[in-house]
Amino acid sequence: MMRRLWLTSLVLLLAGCTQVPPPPGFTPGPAFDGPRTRGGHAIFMREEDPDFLDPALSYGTYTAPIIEAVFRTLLEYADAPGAAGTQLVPELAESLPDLREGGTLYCFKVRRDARFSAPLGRHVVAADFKYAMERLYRVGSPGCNFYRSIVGVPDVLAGKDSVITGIIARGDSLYFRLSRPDPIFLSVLAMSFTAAIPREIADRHPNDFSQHTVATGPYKVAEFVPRRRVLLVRNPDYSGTPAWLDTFELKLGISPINAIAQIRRGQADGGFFEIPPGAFVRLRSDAYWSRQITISDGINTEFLFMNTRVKPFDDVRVRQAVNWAIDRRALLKVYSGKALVATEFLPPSMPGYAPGKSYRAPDRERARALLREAGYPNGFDTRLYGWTTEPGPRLLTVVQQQLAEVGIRASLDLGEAAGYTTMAGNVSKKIPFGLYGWYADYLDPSNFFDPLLNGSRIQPLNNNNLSVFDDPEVNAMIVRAMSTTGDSARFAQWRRIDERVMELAPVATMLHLQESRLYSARLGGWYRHVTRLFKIESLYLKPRSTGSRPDSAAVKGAA
Amino acid sequence: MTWLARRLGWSVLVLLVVSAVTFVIFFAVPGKPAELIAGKYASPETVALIEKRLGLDQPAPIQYLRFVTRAARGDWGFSYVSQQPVLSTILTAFPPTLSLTAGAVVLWLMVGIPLGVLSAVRPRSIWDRLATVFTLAGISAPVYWVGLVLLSIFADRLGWFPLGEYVSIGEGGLVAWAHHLVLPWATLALLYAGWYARFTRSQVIDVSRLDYVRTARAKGLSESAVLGRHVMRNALLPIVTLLGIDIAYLMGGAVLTESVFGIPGVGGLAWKAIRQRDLPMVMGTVLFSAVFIVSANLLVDMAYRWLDPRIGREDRG
Amino acid sequence: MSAEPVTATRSPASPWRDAGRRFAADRAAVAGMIILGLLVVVAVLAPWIVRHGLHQSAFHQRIMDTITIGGQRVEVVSDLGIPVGPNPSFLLGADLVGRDVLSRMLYGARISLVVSALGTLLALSLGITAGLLAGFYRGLWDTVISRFVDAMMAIPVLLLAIALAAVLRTGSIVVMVLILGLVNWTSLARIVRAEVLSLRERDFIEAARALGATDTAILARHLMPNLVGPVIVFATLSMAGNILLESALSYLGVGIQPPTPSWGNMIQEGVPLFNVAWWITLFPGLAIMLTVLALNLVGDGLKRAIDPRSADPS
Repeated sequence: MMRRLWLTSLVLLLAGCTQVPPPPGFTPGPAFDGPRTRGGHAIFMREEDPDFLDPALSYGTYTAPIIEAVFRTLLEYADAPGAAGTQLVPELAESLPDLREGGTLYCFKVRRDARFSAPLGRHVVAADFKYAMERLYRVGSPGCNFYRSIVGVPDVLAGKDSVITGIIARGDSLYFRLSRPDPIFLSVLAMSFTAAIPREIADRHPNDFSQHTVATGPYKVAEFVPRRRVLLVRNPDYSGTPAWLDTFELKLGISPINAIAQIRRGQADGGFFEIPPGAFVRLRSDAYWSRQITISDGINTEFLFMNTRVKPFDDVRVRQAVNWAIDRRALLKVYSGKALVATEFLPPSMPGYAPGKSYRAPDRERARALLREAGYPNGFDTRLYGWTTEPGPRLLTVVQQQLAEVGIRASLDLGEAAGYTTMAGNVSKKIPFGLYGWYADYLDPSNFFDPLLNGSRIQPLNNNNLSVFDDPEVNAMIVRAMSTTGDSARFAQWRRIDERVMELAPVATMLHLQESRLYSARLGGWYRHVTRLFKIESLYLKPRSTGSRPDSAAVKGAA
Repeated sequence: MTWLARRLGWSVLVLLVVSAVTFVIFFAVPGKPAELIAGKYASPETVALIEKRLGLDQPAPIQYLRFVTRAARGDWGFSYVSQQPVLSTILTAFPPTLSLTAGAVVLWLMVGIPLGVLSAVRPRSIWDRLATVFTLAGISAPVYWVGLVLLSIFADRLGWFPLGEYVSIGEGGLVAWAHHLVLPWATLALLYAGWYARFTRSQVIDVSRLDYVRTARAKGLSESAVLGRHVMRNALLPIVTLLGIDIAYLMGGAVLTESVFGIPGVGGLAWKAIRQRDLPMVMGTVLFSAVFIVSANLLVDMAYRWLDPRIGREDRG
Repeated sequence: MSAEPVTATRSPASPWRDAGRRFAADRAAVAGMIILGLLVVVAVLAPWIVRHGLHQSAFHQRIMDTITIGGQRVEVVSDLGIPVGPNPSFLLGADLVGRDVLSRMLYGARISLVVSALGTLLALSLGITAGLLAGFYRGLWDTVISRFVDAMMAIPVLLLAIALAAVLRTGSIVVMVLILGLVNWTSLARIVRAEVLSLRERDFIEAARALGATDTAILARHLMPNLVGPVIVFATLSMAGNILLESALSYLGVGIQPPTPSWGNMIQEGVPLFNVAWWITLFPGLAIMLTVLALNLVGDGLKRAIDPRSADPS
């Protein structure tokens, strides 16, 4: 209760001072709508399995809600919809850290009541965090690169050392020593990669920790059967506010169409999937179910990269021509309208977002003129790369048609999604032109510009800067913005970077995807958390009286 | 006995070749497992760390030898992704596969064999023609498409059946189990009923032409007696043989039917493993189905040898 | 009883003429042949049919178009991404990006037929070579080839094809042909091997060998002609199987890649909307079924014509 009151005041506080408008199309959902009762069982559904139930290895967007409900870090994002969800609050730490030595030393104290779940049941100490961080570099975690600013991490990453000298654990005291001030250090520290892990369990299960999880969060894993279910039960050893639901079941292998039917029949409560187009049309026109749909910003940008080291994309005019040739409104139909036109690189929920100034509508004349100036009066032939997972092929088919109208003859080269990023990220392959999409890992513009467009981050393999864009001016702007500590000054800098990038056009932005979800009427507490996607611990079942419509008969001929 | 020993030896060799072929294919596939696990920020260092942890940094022949020696001891390793032991994951995927196959087999035998006999006994009759059309349609329609059409009509429009999902008997009881499986059974059975009707028809016709059947008929036995006592008894053996081999193939999973109906069987497991570059799981599922197929062939050979000792001579060459 | 004298007086060329006559008298087989012929004609003429009668939608954006149905302006694809169903402008409806389903099916026929036919040819050459080597030379050849064939046949076909598709990556026509060929040759190798094994013990081969004929001469003059029958039957039925396999791979997303239409990838694109825009999945499926049916009819007819003693007494 204390925690909730405190949170509410935080929300008010934030609302008072920052006034971030909700992004267009954002419906917060009934997060705090009525009395909550503890207990009950909710069923969610998903088609694909979670990737790992190991915070060091998991990187699946829709595994994250499970991971975050089970494994906790020192800090957590406030349990609140909208911009309030960007606020970090202490979780397994007693308080936010003390910053010393000019912002290069972070001092945490682990909560005295922090415990690992039964049967282990022991107190979480600072060493468990240090162990977890060092473990990242033993298992080859996808999060390895986030912590380069900690002293000693570069050596560990290079294999010269197995101990991170910059992390010091003494009892409940934990210190992080950084090689330079890092304004986003707390954001990366709040990622689940840093969750405390008990050495005695992880060492015993080097290859199957996912099957032997130990919880520090509001839930613990009772069962994980691939392609069948993940069952979470409330963790009585959790040090924070206990979760509302007794149990949370994620059924696996349920197709979206089937999942929608089950929610309508009252057999399930929600899921991590997009509402399929057919069902979306029917649900939207239904007075009852239209209220149970939520659409929110996916904090994503779908774009085409253009390799600035390969002809003809080495010419900025060609890249601008591509941007002018694309009719972004037409692309919306590919996503059933569940997206926003992107004429800027940052998605709307990202601080520092400002609507782009150019490319709002296609201008084919201008595109053709730019191509003429660049020396391609008859257009050119190229290959457009992408993946075969829908709707990738459909999106690129429409793009291909649009490019053809200004004389750019692109043949499509689609491969399996699994091999795609590896191939495109190999700089020596000189992939000229292709599809890419990026989802935010944390709410800071650096998460978009630094990996994707900073020239000094180009690496020969597994490169994310697929445009191989290396503009000294932009590089310098990114570095400067990343080390600026005042929020409003920082975000102003990112806005300028976004503008400059769209002028130089190493990418042709297309859409910011939105997420659509359907929830049962008996379920409360669901909302799209701006950084965590979804907080399972805030779900609860409404008292029976909140008249949910029995929909079993109505489902005939629908769903 | 020496024949059996040699035949068993060959079977083991075949399994070794299967595993080697799978291994070679796997290493030729672009997109390394470590790169997939390393995620979008993968650096060469991270990839190297993961390869070291999974033993993928060793040369492929060494990895293969290590796999074979472990597999022989019954240790099939852990999935790279779900981190479950491979063998136990396959065993949890087996009941759905078994359920799907069992029901479909019953259904297709119940439809296919009578249909085949009927059209063999009354060739060129209207029954024969109807049966021919049905069986041809069955073997010509893409199985996943039949599944989609059935789902669209009977699950989505009429709402008689669920839109997919597998419910085990333990979870939902016998009725829910069967209710969820009716459409998958029908889908798979439509295809196989077609094949079995055709096969039965040709067997029955072939056997009816044999001398002793003619003799039986000449002796004045009634048509049904001839059919029951002489024709079916002999026509059934090849059908049973075929059934054994088909069932063995289906133990490796029906990838398409499983994917249309969301059945968590062995086929889907293999398909997912290939997509995720989950080497231990790929090897496990491929070998699992190969074991069934190889043993079914072995059993068939043994049965024939036992029934017809002359076969032995030819095989010796 | 009466079969004996007829066989005795046969001239060498007449078995084929007889077979041809039997085939022509087989109504089902002729029907199959006609369907197949029509499909080939339609596939060959697809660009002209589409240019004059249907939409050319390969390189033009249709997703924002509007058409008039019964005096009303209708978007080809609605804002929510639902395309128009069958109507006078789109006889079999439009697909998710506003292309005409019928036009794409015509083009898809080319892909499906060419890929399956070439895949069959590749399987034929591999299978015949392997079968001949194993059956004719026996010994080590036979052991190695037979065990390898056994092993390949112990891997479920679809999984093998999926794995090969992952290795070869691009879903181009060449790659699909390779996959279909590599997956299918094993059963033919077995058939040919068995046929050769039984033939080589026959008197006429022994006689030829005694007369000093070389291996190649025996192969070409005596074995090959006897293999033509089973091989032709295999080829027709395997082409039917290839059409199904190609469509299954495209359905799983590892076959022919869009925007090149194949019947399988058309169905796959329609799956998310199969319960609303049913025409996208229904019609290509019917096309596959019809083609495979025709091939099966022809294959059955050939079997009956070449070996009149086989199952059907007609």
